[in-house]
Amino acid sequence: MRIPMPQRQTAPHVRAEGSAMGMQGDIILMLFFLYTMPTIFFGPRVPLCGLLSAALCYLCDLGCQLLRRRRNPRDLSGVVTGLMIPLLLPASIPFGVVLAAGLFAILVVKHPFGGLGQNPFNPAAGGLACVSVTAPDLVFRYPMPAMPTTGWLPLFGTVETALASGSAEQLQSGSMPAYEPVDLLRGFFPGPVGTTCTLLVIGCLLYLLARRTVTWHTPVAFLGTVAICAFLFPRLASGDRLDSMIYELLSGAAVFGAAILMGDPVTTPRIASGRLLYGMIGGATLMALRHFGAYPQGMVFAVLIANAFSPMLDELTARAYTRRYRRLGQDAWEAEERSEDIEAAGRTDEEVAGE
Amino acid sequence: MKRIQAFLQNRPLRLSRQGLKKLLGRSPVLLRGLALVPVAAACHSLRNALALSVVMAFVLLPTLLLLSLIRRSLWEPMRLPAAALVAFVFYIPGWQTAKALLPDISTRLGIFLPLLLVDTLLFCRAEESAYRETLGRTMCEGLLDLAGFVLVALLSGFVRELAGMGTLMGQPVHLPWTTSLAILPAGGFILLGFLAAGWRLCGEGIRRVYIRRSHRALIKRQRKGKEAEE
Repeated sequence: MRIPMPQRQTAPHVRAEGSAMGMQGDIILMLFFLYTMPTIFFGPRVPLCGLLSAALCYLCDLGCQLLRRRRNPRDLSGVVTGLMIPLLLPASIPFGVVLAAGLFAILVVKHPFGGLGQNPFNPAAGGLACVSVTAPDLVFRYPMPAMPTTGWLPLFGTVETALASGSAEQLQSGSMPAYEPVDLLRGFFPGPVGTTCTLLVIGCLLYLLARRTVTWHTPVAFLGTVAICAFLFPRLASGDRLDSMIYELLSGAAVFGAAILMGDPVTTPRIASGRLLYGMIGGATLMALRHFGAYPQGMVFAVLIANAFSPMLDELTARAYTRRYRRLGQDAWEAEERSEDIEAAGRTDEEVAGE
Repeated sequence: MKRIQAFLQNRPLRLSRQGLKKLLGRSPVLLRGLALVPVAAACHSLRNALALSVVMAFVLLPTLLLLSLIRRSLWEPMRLPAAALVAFVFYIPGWQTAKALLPDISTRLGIFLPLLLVDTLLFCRAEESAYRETLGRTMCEGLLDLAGFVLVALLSGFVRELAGMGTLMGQPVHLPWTTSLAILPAGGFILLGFLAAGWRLCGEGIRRVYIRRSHRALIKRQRKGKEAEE
């Protein structure tokens, strides 16, 4: 059985028939793939954390669905949320914090708004924002990655190895990060578990692009905006623009956010131009948060702020679409039908007259 | 004499039943979104909630009384500024009273106390009741809204102080965990959202019970009528 896509905002431009199951399967596969490097670096604690979080989120999601009498056990969006959360946290994070983030994501960010397909904010980003605000000392301190020879993190219990600040924090203070760009690419520096190994994340992004689970518009606009902002306003005290660009792109969770968080099909706008604008807003917000924000990692907040713009972008781009079809006058009847579709999606007569 | 007796017997009952209905059916904070800011931002402990309630009582009730008395002599565009100005007069004794209860009130509540002067709850009551209805009715509505505000403020203060700091009125309570989210305004808004949902759910349930009961009574009456006819 194929589960149909969430029906609320199918814009007229969507022609390909996708299934929520296939998309979720792709993303889950990629998330499992992202767990490989952290497992080598930090030991089995990380995948255990991910599995626990995924199980909790799935069960919680199912419980909420039962409560709302819309049972759909094949909906794996809870697993996606649960697997995403530990990837943006340090490996040393206590299990309680991860589970709290998962609970918050499902119970507060997802289901009060109507569950899958209706949530205006990315649940994983919401849960992570909650724990970043409440326990910043746990969330923004990272253990140094270790090879199996030097010792993995303990499977259970608290981590007692020394925690370091990530390269994002060093950038925040204006100093040059103490890690080579090559180290940043292969993930050998303290940072959020799933985001440090940039090569792996880029591989995932390419797979998702090839499978058309994520379209190219959002990641390209997002990373492009981040790169341009980093080039124009370097945070490095030395003022080297090219270095600034490289480190800004590689040290935070920018690539991970562009690939996985911003590409979430529920919260992105439906039309290509809207997606471009959405990516730009996200990138600009991320850079603003890095320059003026209090936290070293602003990715989840940037994603949440960009999500808030998404419905508005949908409406704006849909309006531009109808206007263009009317002006071209091509196939008047069809264009009329399209505009009617869009009007049914929430446009009133006054707005049409206002144009 | 009979009339007075009937009044004494029926009146309080009817009033209280109506009042209860209104109190349950129309919470100003949870259902109409009035006075959201002080509750969400400042009511993170029971003491804050108490101080806010005291000041709100001092600001709301005498202001409504005075506005309702002087409404005929007011120029219409000046209604809202007049409400704020009159409230300002009564704010000072309210502030002094709250200060007697809670010495460090200005550091605890800061801007949120004077913000009560331009609160939506006050303006809404002034526009809807004081400038339109009789004095008695205005005061009744004002009291009900005040009760609704105090209820939600105390509830919010109770839950957020317990969950955020593990204390009640400053007394430590042993809890397994606390979360600083409860003290932040974000936590206040989330709590208010869930409270509003619960409130509506309860209201819906109560309404259904009422409808069912009145439906049954109607059927019974019809049956009796038929039997009487036969």
